[in-house]
Amino acid sequence: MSIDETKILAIKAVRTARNEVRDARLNEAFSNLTRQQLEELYTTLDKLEDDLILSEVDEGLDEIERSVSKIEDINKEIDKENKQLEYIAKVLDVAAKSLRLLIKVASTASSSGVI
Amino acid sequence: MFKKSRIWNNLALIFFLLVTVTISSSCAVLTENQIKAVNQFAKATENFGPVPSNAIKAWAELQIEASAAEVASMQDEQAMWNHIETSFNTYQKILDRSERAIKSFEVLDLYSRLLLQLTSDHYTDGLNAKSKDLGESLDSAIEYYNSRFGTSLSGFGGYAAGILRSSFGLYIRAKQTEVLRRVVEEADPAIDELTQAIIKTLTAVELGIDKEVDTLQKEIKAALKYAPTIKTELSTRKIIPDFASYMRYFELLQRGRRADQIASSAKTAAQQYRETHHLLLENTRSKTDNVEDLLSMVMRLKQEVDAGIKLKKSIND
Repeated sequence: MSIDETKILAIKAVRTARNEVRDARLNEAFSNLTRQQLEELYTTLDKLEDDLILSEVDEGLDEIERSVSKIEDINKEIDKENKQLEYIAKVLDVAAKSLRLLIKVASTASSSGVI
Repeated sequence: MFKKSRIWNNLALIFFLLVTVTISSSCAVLTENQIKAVNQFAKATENFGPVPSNAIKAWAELQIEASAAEVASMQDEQAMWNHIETSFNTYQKILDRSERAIKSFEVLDLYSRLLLQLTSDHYTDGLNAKSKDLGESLDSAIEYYNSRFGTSLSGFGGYAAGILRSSFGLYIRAKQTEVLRRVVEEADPAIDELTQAIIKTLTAVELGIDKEVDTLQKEIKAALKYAPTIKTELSTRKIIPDFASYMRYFELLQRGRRADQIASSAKTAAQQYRETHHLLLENTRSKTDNVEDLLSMVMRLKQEVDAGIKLKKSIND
């Protein structure tokens, strides 16, 4: 898979996670604290998607790395007992894995002089 | 003795002129059809620049508007603030990211104008000075591009200063076409880099607009879902978009979709620009006078650029 294709997959995975979080933050069944956390998470995912779109593949890997770590940390704190939040945890996991793959592919290409 | 010498001098002058004319004719490195093809290429691309810039601007504005819609449905003040701040940072990033493409357009625009001058039927002192100025501006633009983006493109505008005025029209024409061939040859590697930068930026524009259109669609749906509770929600400080806001969102969606079409059309035009220039180069290297394939490719490029201009007008209306 090419770097561009990996990047598109990562963008799609982040978009899916962002949309799920968007819907969840409007859900009144959640506590105010959870909704507040979801709004923060939404901004993080929104910024991440913009960064992925705007950056060249070999640029901003550190920034993406920081965002992935943040997503993984948040994911650890999500209450997996709650069915709706459990689904969010799953899509966040997919997004984090896609981003890790992008970082790996871009790093390999960069070190081998492809980009 | 004096008379004889004068006749001899006149004969020598006539001989010199005949030799010069013969040499000049054989130096005419491009045929009239080839020059015409370069002229058509320059005409087809002279209005290319402003079209994609419009799509970039539309994306930046759409991003701010979509963020405003998102914030309108948020509850936590800190989250709202963070989202607005992120959105303004992204706006700046879009402008920064687009600079390379904008500068590429500037170089291509100068290049088209220079080609128009170099393919002029009536090459005069005025045109010569203009070509020289355009050549200098072109090299300055390339120099800035290299220093700003770390590239090492070679300037090729300096060749335009190589046409010397002479009383011989035929000689000027030969020199003009020689310079034209050289400019097209030297420009080709730069065209590769510049069109590639434009294509990369326009790919980002397409992805970015797609994201914001998706965001607006989701916000409209979410707002409609909560619409029946406007009154009660107002008491809890939750901001629900009113009818005017819906209309505004729909209008934004339309603008976003048109900007996406502009970006897509400009991307195709940039790809065609590069391919057509390669063929143009091959043609100017060739001694054959067959320019049919090149002209049909130039025509397709012109159609794509014109389609972009038409779309641009629709987004401004």
